[in-house]
Amino acid sequence: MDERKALFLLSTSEELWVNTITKMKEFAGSYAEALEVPEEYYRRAGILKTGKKLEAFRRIRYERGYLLEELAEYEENGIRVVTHMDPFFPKRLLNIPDAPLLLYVRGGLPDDDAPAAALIGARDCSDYGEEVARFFAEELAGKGIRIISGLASGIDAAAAEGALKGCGSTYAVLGTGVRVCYPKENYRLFERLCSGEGGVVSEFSPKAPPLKQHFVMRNRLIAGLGDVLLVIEARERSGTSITVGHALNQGKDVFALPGRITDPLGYGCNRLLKEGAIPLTSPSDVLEYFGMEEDGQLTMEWKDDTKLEGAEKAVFRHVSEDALHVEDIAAASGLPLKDTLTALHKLELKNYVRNTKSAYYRRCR
Amino acid sequence: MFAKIKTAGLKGLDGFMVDVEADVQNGLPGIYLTGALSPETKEAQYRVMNALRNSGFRMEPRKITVNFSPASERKEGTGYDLPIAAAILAAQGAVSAGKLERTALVGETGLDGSLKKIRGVLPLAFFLRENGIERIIVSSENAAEASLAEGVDVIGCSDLREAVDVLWKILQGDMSEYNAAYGSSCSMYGITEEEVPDYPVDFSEVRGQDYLKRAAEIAVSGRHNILFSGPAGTGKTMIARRMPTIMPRLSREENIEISKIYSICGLLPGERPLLSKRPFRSPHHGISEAAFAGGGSRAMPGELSLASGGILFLDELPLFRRDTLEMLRQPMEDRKITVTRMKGSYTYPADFLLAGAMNNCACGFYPGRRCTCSKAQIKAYTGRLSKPLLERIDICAEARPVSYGELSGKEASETSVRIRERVEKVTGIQEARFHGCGNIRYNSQMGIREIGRFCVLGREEQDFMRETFQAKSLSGRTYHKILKVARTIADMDGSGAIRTEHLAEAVELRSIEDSLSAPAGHGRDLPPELRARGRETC
Repeated sequence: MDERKALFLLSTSEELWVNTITKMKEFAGSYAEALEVPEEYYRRAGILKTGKKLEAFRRIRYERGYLLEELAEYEENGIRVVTHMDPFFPKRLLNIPDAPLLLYVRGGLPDDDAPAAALIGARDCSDYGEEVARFFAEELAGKGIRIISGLASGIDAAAAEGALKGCGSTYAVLGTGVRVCYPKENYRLFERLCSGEGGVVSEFSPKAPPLKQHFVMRNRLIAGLGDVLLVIEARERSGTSITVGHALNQGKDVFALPGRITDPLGYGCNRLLKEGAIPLTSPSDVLEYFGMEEDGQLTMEWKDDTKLEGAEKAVFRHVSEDALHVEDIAAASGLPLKDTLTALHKLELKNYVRNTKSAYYRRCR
Repeated sequence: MFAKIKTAGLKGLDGFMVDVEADVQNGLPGIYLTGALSPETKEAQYRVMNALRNSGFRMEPRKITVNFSPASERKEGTGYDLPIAAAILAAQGAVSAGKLERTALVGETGLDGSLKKIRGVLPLAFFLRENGIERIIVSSENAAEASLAEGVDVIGCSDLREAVDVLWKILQGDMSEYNAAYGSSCSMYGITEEEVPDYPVDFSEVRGQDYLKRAAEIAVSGRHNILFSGPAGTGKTMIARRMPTIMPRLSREENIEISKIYSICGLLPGERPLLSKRPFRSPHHGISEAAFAGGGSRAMPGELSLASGGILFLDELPLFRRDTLEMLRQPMEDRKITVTRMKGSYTYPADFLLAGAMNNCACGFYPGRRCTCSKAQIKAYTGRLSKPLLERIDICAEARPVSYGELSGKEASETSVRIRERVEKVTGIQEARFHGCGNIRYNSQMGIREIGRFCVLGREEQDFMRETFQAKSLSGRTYHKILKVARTIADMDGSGAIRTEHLAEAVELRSIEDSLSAPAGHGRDLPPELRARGRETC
C-alpha cells in the first residue's frame, strides 16, 4: 500500500490524531507498515492505550476497502486529499506545533510564496466591525495578499466577502468537513470559494459536523496559514484569544484594531494592544509590514454628501455610521416621514446608505 | 291530551324550528322526553316539573311524553324548559294551544318557577322572525336582546306564572296591555341607532411612535394584516389595542352580526345587549386550538370569530404554537371558519384584521445595544415565525425605543376620532373602486387581476420598483403586497396614481418574509438532519 493511502486510512478516525499516528509511524517505520502491525504490539508499546483507540484502529483495518472507495469518491468529486508528503502541502503548516498530517481541500490552497494575512474577529460583531473587515480584506486582497479566515458569521464572512470584492483570493479553514457549510447562510461565499476564487480547507473528514472541539482545533491552522494575524473585533474572553495564542506560539506578529474603551467588542483588541500587538489603523500598516510599495496612506472613509442634492442631501446628513430608525432620521432632518423614506430608498439604490434591519439605516463606506 | 308549542334551536349561528309536543295519557306517572336531546336539555324533566309545582300548578299523576320534532336534529341548551312547561300545561288543559301558531317560547326555568336568561337569544330571535313568528316570550333578562330583531313582539316574563298569564291574554286576543308596554321597537331598551362608540382607550394617549401609528392607520385603512416588531416596552401592544378605535364605525347590520356571536357565547352585556364597539381580542399564546378557532364539545365560536369585525391581536407571535397559527390560514382566506365536530359542522364568521407583535430577540432589546443575544439566537427567534402566516401579513412595522422627551412631552397627539374620519374616507374610496368586483371590499383583498387593474405604475415608479426589486432581492409575493399597500397609501393621500413616495413607504413597511427565507433555491429542499447542522454540498 502506498504511503498516502495508508496515511489517509489512519486519519479517518478522530480517535487516532496527529500525535498517535506519528508515534505509530515511528514505531513501524512507515504509514503502510503501521497499518499492518498487530494491535497487540501497539498496546504493549503504550501507543494505543485506550480501548477507544484500539477499537478505532481495528475498525480502520477492517473497513479498509470501503474507506479506500470513499477516497476515490472524494477525488472524483473535486475534494483533494493533501498529505504532508505531497509537494502542494502548504509549507507554512509543516513546522507549526501539532502540524496536520493531512488536509481535505476544495478549490485551491494559498501559494507558499505569496504573502498571506489571517483575519479574525467576533461572530456577533458590530456593523462597524463588519465594514472595517470588508474594507481591509478588499484592500489587502487587491494588492495580492491572500486572506485567510474561518468562514464563520460576522467578521470572518465579511473578510471573505471583502477579499472577493477586491478580486483577490481568500481561503477558509473550516471547523467542519469540506462538504458541510456552516453556518449555512454563508452558502454563497462557500460555493464561490470552492469554485476556485479561493479555497476551503479542513483537517476533518468531509462530512464532519460542526463540533465545538473542531473549531478550537482549526484555529491553529488559521494562524498557521497566515504570515500575520489581524484581529478586528474581539470580546475579552473569546475564541479569538485562542487563535492569537497559536499565532504567537508559531512566532507570528499580531495586529489589532483599536476599539472603543467602552465597547465589549473592543476589550479583546485593546488588551492585545496593551500586551504589545501592532495597532491596525490602515491596510497600509500591513502592506508596510510585508514591505510592499504603495503611494500614500490608505484610509477608510464614509460616503459624504457633496454629490447629493435637495432632500437626499438633507436626509443623508443625519444618517450616521451606526444604524438609526427612520423616525429618528426624519425628526433630525425635519422632513415628513414619507419624504425621508423616499430619499432613503433612493440613497440606498445609489449605495449611499444601507438598510441594516427593517426601518434602520446607516451610512455606507 | 295532546298539545304543541313552537320554539327553535341553534346550530352554530343558524336556527331550526322545533315543535315541542306534549301528550298526557294514563300510565305510570312521570315525564318522558324524546328527540335527540343533550344532557342539559334532558334535565328539563326535573327542572320543569318542580318549577310547575312551585308555581302553583297542579300536576295530574299521569304519564307525560314530550317529544321534540324534528326528532333527528340534536337539541342543546336549556332554552327548551319554558316551551316544555307550556306544552305540558296545554296538554293538561291548563291553557289552550289553539292560537299559539305564531308565538314562540324560549327560556330556562329555575326550580322556583323563575325564568332565567339563556345564551343565543339574539340569533334565535332573528331566526324566529324570518320563520313567520310574530311574538316571542322570553325571560325578562333576555327581552332587551331579543327585541333587537325588529318587527317581532318580544314579551319578557320573570316567572312561569307571568308567562302563563301572557299566554291566556294571547288566547283571549287581548294584547292591548302588552302592546302598550312593550311595543315592538327596541328603542325602549335604550338601544338607539346612532350610538357613538365610546372606547376606553384613545390614540391621543400614545406619545411618539409616529411611524408605528402611521403603519396602524395604513393597516386599518386598507384592511392589511400587520406585524409590529421591536424592543420590549415601545408601545406595540398599546397601539394595537387602539386600532379598533380608528376602524370605521359599525353599521347596524355589522353590529348585529358581531353581537350574534357574542350572544351564543353569553358574552353580551345584559343592560345594553349590542356591542357597537369593534372587538379587540388578544388571546394568550398558550391558548388551545379549540378556544382559538372554535370547538369544544358544543362547537362554540373561538377567538377568531369573537374578533370578527375587529382586531385579532397576537402578542409575542413567535411563542404561539405552530398548530395554533395554522388554524388561521383558512379563515384569513375565506373570512369565515368552519368548525367540524362529531355532532356536525358549524360555520362562524371570522372577518378580522390580524395584528401581531413580537420582540426581535429573546431578551427583547435587539437592535439596541443592551441586547445580549448572539446573531444565531436572534435568527432562531425570528425564524420561529410561521411562514404561511407571514405570507398573509402585508405590513411589518419596526418600533423604536421612545425617548424621555417624547414620553413627557406636552404635545397632544391626534385623537382616534380624527384618524377614524380619515380612515372612513379611504374605505369610501375603496368601496367605490371595488363596486362590482365580487366580495372584494378592501385593497388587501385584491387578487392579481385587480392589482393589474388598480395598481398601475408610471414610468418613473416602474424604474424605482425595478431597481428596488433587484437591490433587495424581493420575491414576487412581496412585490404584490407592496403594490397593495402602496395603493392604500395613495388612497390616503387622495391620489389616483401611485407615486414613488407611496411606493417608498410601502417598501419600508414590507413584509419580512423575504429576509427570513434562505436565498432562492437554497436550503428549502434541505433534509432536516442537514438543516440543523449546516448544508452538505456536492
